[in-house]
Amino acid sequence: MDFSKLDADLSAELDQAPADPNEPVFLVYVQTDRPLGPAEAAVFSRVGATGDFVGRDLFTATLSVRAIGELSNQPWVRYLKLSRRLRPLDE
Amino acid sequence: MKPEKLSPGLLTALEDFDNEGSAGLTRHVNTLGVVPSLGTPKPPRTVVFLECDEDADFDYLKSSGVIVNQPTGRLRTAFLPIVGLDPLSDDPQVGRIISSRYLQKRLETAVPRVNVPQFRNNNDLNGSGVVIGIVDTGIDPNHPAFAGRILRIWDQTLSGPGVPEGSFGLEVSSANLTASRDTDGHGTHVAGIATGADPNFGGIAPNAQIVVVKTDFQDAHIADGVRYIFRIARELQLPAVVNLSLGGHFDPHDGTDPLSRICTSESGPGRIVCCAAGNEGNDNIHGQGTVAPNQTRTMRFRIPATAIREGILNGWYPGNASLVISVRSPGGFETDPQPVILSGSPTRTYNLPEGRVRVTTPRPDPANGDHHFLIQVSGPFPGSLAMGGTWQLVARNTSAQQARLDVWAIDDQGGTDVTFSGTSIQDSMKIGSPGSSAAVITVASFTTKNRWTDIDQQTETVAMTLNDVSDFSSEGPLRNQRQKPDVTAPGAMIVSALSRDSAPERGFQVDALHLVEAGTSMATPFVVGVVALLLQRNQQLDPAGVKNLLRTASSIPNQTAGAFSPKWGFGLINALSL
Repeated sequence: MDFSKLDADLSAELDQAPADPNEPVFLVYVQTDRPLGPAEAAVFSRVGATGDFVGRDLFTATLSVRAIGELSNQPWVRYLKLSRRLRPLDE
Repeated sequence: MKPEKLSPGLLTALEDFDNEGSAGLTRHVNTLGVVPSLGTPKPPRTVVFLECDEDADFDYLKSSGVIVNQPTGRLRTAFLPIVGLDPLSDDPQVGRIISSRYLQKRLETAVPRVNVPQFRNNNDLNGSGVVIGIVDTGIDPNHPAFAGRILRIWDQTLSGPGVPEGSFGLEVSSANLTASRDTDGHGTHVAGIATGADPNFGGIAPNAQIVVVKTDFQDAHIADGVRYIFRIARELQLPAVVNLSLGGHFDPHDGTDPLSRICTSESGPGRIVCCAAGNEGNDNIHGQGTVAPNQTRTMRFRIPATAIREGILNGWYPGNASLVISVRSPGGFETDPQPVILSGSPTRTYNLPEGRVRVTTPRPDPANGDHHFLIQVSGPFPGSLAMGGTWQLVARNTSAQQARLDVWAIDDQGGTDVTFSGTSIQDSMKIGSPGSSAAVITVASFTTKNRWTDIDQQTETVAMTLNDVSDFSSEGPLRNQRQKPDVTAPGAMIVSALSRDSAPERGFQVDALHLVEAGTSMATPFVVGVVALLLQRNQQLDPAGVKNLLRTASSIPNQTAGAFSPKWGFGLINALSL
C-alpha cells in the first residue's frame, strides 16, 4: 500500500478497514497519468474494480482494500480519493 | 339608487360612467370586473358579488338585464349592466353590492423580478430543444408540470444493472418512469423552478426535455450522474445544462477535488453545469488562522451537546509549510503532537477520557500539492456520542514558511452542527465542491418573498430581508482566492412543484401541487432555466460564453456596473439584458 497516493479521507477509512480485504466497499475516485488502455484496464478487472474507466484518466470505482493496495503501487496511478456524501442545499 | 349599499370601487366606476359615459369605465377594466362597451351597441356591464337574503328572488330584474347567477344563498354573484345597479340597490332583499376584482395570477414573484417573462417573449424562447439534467432526490413522474417531458431517470438508489457510467441503480423511461419516486421532494421542487410547465408557478424553461438522476448523494455517483446526463444529451444531439443543487465541505475548496474537476472536464460547448453556492452564510463552519514559523496557533471549535456521533475537521495549508497537529478536549486532555507522517498509514488514534480522536496527517495531497489533514472526534466507546463542549485544534509550525491554515468543521451527517468560535471564525471561503469547480456557474441566493399563504389559508412569514442577497447564501472566494460565486438568482421563498410522494409540513404547502422552499438549491435552477433559454438560442455556448453573458446581465444594487462581491458574485441576473 502506497499511502502517499491516498488522500487523508481514504487513509483514515482504511485505518478502520473491514475484516475481509477482498470486499469492495470503498467508493473512490482514481486519477491516472493517462487515459486507461487495455493493459491498465486489465489490471482493474483483475483486482475486481467495477466502474466506467476505459478511456478515462479520472473515474470512479468501488474497490476492496486489496485492490486499493495493488492500484496504489501501480506507477501509472497518481492518486486515489475517497468519495464523500453531499447534501441537498435547501435551507 | 341606494349608494350606501355599493362598495367604493363600484361607486367610483359609477361616478366615472355618469361623468364620461362608457369611456370613463376603461380605467377600471384591469381591476374591477367591468366590461366596457366602446364601439359596440351593448351597454357596459359589470360583475359583482351580492350580499342578500337567503331566499331572495331576483327574477323580476331579468328584464333590466340583471342576471343573478345563484337562485338562493346569502352571497351570490351577478352580471348586469352598469345602469342595473340602480334597481338592484333599491331592492330591500339586497344588503350590499361589492365589485368583483381581477386577481393577479399567483406567479412566483421571483420569475418576473428578474424579467424572465419579457426575455422569453421578446426572443420567443421556452427551452425547446435543450436537455435539463437534474442530479438530485429524484422527480415526481406524475406531476403535471413535467408531463411528457421526462426522458429518462437513472435511479441510483434502486437495485438494477445500472448504466454505462455506473453498474448500479436502475434506468427507467416512458412507461416505467413511476418506478422511481421522489420521497424527499427537493428534486421535484428544483425541477419545477427550472422547467415546470404550470399556469401559476411556471418554471423558466417550460419546454425543455428532462433527464433525472436520483442520486444517493455520494459525490462519486454524482460525478457519474453528470457524465450520464451529458451522454444522453450527446446521443440526442441536443445541448444540455445540468443542475447540481447540492454540496459539502469535505473538499479543499479550490476546485481541485475530483467532482469539481469532472464537472469542469465534462463542460464545453453546449454542455453547462450550474451549482449551488451553499447555505452556510450564517454558520461558523470555516476557521482560518495564520501560523508564523515556530509559532503555535489554537483554533476553538464547538461540538454540540446533542446527538453528534462524530465531529470532523477538514484542514488545509500550503505544501511548503509543515504543521504539527494536536487536539485538546474540553477537559484539557490533549493528543500527542502529530507531524506529517511520511511512511505507512498516516492515521493515529488517541483515546482521551472525553472521546476518541483520530488524526490523519499524510504527505501533501497529490491533487494540489497542499497539506490536508483530517481530525475525527467521536465518543469514547464505539457508537457513543461525541463529547459536547469547546475543543481546540492546536497547530505548531515547524517550518520556516508562514502557513495560512483553513479548516472546515463538519458533523457526521455532513451538516453544520460543529462550529468554530473565537477569533478563528472566517465568513469567507464557504463555497465547497462542486460549487468550487472552475467551469461551473455557481449561484448565490436572493430573497424575493418572505411571506406566503399556506394550504390552510394561514399567513406564514420568515425573517428574511426582502430584495437582498439571502443571508444564508455562502460567501466566496475559493481557498486559492479565485472568484466565486458567479451570479445571484432568486432563492427565497420560492414556490414550485410538490412531489406527491413527499410529506412536507403544511405550513410550506401552498396547494396540492406546490410548496415553498428556500436555499441556493432554489436559486440554481433559476440559472439553469435561463441557461437553457440561452442554449436554445445558441447551442454552442460554452461555460465561458455563458458566464460572460450572465456577468454582463447582472448587477449588485448600488454598485457600479461590473462590480463583483464574494457574496453576490456579479450580482442579480436581469434577463432583459441577456
